[in-house]
Amino acid sequence: MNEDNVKVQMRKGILEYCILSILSRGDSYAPKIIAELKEAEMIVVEGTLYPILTRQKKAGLLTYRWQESTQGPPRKYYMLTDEGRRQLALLDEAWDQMVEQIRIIRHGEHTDEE
Amino acid sequence: MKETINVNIAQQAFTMDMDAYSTLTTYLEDIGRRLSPSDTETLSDIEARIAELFREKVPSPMMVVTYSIVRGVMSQIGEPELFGEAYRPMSDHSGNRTFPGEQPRKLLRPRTNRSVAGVCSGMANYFNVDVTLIRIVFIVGFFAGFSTVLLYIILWAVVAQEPVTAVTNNNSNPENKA
Repeated sequence: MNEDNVKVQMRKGILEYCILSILSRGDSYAPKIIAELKEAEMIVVEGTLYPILTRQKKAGLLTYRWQESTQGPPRKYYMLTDEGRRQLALLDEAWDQMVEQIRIIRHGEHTDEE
Repeated sequence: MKETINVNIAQQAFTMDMDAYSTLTTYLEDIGRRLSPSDTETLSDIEARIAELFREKVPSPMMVVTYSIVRGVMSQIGEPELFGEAYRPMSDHSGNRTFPGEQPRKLLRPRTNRSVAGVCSGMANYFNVDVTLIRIVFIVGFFAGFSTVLLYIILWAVVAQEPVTAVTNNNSNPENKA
């Protein structure tokens, strides 16, 4: 089993969740989202982000507005929709559950009783 | 000395070396064919990002975007394979593409430059050869015992006459109906 490959698959699964999370902290534009995801080592190349943004926009999870920029042309500012917030709340819950399940799997359910 | 080309990427002007330009064109086309046909947005987002990265590296439109800058930006965006399987093959650049406004070649009998009914002239246009050559073939063919007169009459009947002005051809194209 290739360790790097497992990591890549893990990241892929939670990338959409991460994007929604980033946007829940405030509206943002693609290069800034990219910078955050790179910082967190969630993505390696930038192209990964764009198809996901388009897909999430089509699914009604986010939308964007054009905003003037001090440098260069106007930028697309992405923001969560109500549906996006609902989806994020579900994913937050699922994530917490998963972390708990993994903890149980790693350490056994009744660790404190043994 | 190198040849350059002026391009507009996401409404920004850039001067690019020819090798840089053709590499970028192929790259964008490769990405485009891997995106869903209904998805027009992702590619323009990526182009906007590329324009932004170019502008960071080449602040002035007077400076040239070189091949190595394009390679650098491409590796930052990622391989086209990242965007999944292709929906359509790459178009070859040997002229198979039809450009907007370019009509498919049609065999028609022109109204001018005809001796009898324009059959030879039409064939000359179609095959892009001198009309005299076609006429010689017909006449020599007749004396050599081939039924070129009959062939001529059949073509006269079958091949449509060119419309009054060549422009009316475009009526079949809805884009030109404005």
